[in-house]
Amino acid sequence: MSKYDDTHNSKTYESLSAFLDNEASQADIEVLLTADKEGLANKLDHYHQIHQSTQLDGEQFIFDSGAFLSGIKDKLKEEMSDSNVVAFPQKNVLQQTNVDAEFSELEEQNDDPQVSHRPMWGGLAVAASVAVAVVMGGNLLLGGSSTDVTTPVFATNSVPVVEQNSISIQNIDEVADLENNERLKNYLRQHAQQASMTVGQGMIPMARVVSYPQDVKQ
Amino acid sequence: MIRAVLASILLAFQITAFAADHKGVDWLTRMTESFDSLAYEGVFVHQEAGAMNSMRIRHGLIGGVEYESLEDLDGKRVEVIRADDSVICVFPEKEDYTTGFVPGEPFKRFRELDQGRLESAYDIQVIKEPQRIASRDAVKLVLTPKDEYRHGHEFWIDKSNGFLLKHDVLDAQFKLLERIQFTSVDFSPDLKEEDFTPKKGSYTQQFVEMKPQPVANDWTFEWLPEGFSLVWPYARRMNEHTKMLLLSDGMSTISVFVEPSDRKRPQTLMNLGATIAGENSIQVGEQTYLLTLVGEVPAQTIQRLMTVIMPKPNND
Repeated sequence: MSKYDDTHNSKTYESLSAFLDNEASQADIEVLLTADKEGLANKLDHYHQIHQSTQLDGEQFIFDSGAFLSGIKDKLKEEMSDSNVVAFPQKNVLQQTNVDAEFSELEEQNDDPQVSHRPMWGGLAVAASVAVAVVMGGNLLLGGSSTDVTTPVFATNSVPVVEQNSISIQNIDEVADLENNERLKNYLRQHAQQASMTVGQGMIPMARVVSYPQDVKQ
Repeated sequence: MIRAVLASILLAFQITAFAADHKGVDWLTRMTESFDSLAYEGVFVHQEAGAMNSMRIRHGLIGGVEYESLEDLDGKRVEVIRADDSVICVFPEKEDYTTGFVPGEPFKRFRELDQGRLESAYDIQVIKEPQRIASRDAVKLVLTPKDEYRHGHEFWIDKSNGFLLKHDVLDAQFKLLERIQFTSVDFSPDLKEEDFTPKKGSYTQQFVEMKPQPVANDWTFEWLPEGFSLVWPYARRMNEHTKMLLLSDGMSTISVFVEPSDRKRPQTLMNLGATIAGENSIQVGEQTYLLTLVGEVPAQTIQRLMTVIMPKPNND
């Protein structure tokens, strides 16, 4: 291992430790966000083992994600504020760019340290990929079973979502109104058709179309 | 006899040389060319979101006319037949006719693979171990995405002619999202016009070339994943109000539909195997727009794209 790697790993470990002690600085957050995924996962695992070996019987590890969420929030605010200045006409308002509101909701849910965070964080796996990156690390340290935990994804630029419904396309008949339902099906088919012309696999992408709901008749 | 032996040796040498010397992108280029240049008849299985369909695909040049067909062997046995620029969709009964199934325009042929764009987005690796799919020797390619905004791909390509024998789409945890796999394929099919003629008594709908309606694209993206760009420099008009944009990195495709709306909808994500559809409302001045994105990319890519699409400045 090179000297650079040693130094780099050492810094990552320090940042991880600071985070786990709720003492992470912005610099620590940035180190974690840019860290090698596999290496970080190994460190989390290592930390977990150390924690378990030193844990007293019956002692509960309580993980307060507030400091970390706050750091992530600042990071996102900084990124989004930069991008908004450059790109958005003043009069245009996008609905889903309110990071403060989104994170205050997450933080409110985290206010009570007695509450188990595991199910809630599991539910955020799709919605808040940045938060999940580290939150899932926290879950690993909580000792949750593998079925409770999604594999950590260390995204660096994703945007969290406040309100989101996640459903299967096969079930859109159950959740969408008729007009919306037909619109979505039409778009799915248009997409499959265009994909068949774009990715160089002949008619094969059209095979997807038969998987889509087919009940729209003339 | 000697000439045949020499030809066989030369062919074997060419195959070996191609396999040894060529990079992954060369194999992908060869694969895309094979769909146009080869005659073939095969049956493949399409697996997605726990569902499986078997389909027959045919392609050939008969009397100077290029024919192609895709037939669903399960369920309602819908078939799409293309003869040059005409497309016929065949349904067993009129009642089975589904307005949305048929293509709005005939399939245009894929022209060229953008190797540079692919290599900027994926690490492309040729696996050395010998592979065998549908009784044919294959070369396996692994496309590992360089970021989290696209899925991984694995291709098994016929060693002798470059035809795609198997294709897996995998998520970041290597979970299988979608699979296409041939179970049999014949590259010397005895295809006749009758093979591309709808069966008597079936219901058909014929479609002729309809030029897409290009309209000004008044939307832009503040950010795109590396390698993704607009396929068309313009937007396409879908109906009176809806415009469609198309993004691709040469491997994955994302369709973007934008239409005015009189009410706001919550952000919604829908999934079907590798395909993710997302919808969201955005407000521009007094007008609400509904965005719908569909693509074979991770949910977070759709999510993020929904937050970075915006109207172009007026003077753009």
